[in-house]
Amino acid sequence: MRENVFERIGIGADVEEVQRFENLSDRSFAAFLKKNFTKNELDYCLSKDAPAPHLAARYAGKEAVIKALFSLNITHIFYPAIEIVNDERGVPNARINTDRDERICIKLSLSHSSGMALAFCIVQQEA
Amino acid sequence: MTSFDEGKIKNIFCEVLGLPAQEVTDTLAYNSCVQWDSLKHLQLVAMFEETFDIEIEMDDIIAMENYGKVKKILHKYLK
Repeated sequence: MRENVFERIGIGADVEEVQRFENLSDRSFAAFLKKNFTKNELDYCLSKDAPAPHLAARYAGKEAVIKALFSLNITHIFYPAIEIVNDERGVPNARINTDRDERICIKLSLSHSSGMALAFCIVQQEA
Repeated sequence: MTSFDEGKIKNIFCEVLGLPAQEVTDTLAYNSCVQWDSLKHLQLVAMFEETFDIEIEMDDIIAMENYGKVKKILHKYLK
């Protein structure tokens, strides 16, 4: 019987308003950043003159990854375990930091304008 | 870890969601309150963890779908 390849593919998308990521001095926002972003992610975003679009895009990326994982019924991976880092060409990659071998492949695309950030994710589960 | 204090929980809701205290009732729910979206949900959780010095499990974070349930779940962590 032919395998339905889509059974092992999950997709997720998310869009965020950049201005919601501007108030770095707000204590609940600061607590949220500390809990849900890795040191690498914060170092990268906060090194920018305008961190908000980068924080918004990374958060949208995490949301998109979670939606794609949930569509495959993978429900144990949460925001802090998803780390989005750029490779040497500037392409964002999502890394899953958990104790187990997750056997998934993730492709992620991020984009932002001055007002909005968007992410799209495809996850393939290994057979 | 600090003890259960409903006043502190309500204050966190008011601060994060920008709601007056009288609107924070047991039926205030994630899927019907426009201010309470996924970003604000994570801000609420981060504030609970920081304020009460606890670490909330992922299943409980997902189950916090209304104010009444939030109180019940936090009660488990705050004896």
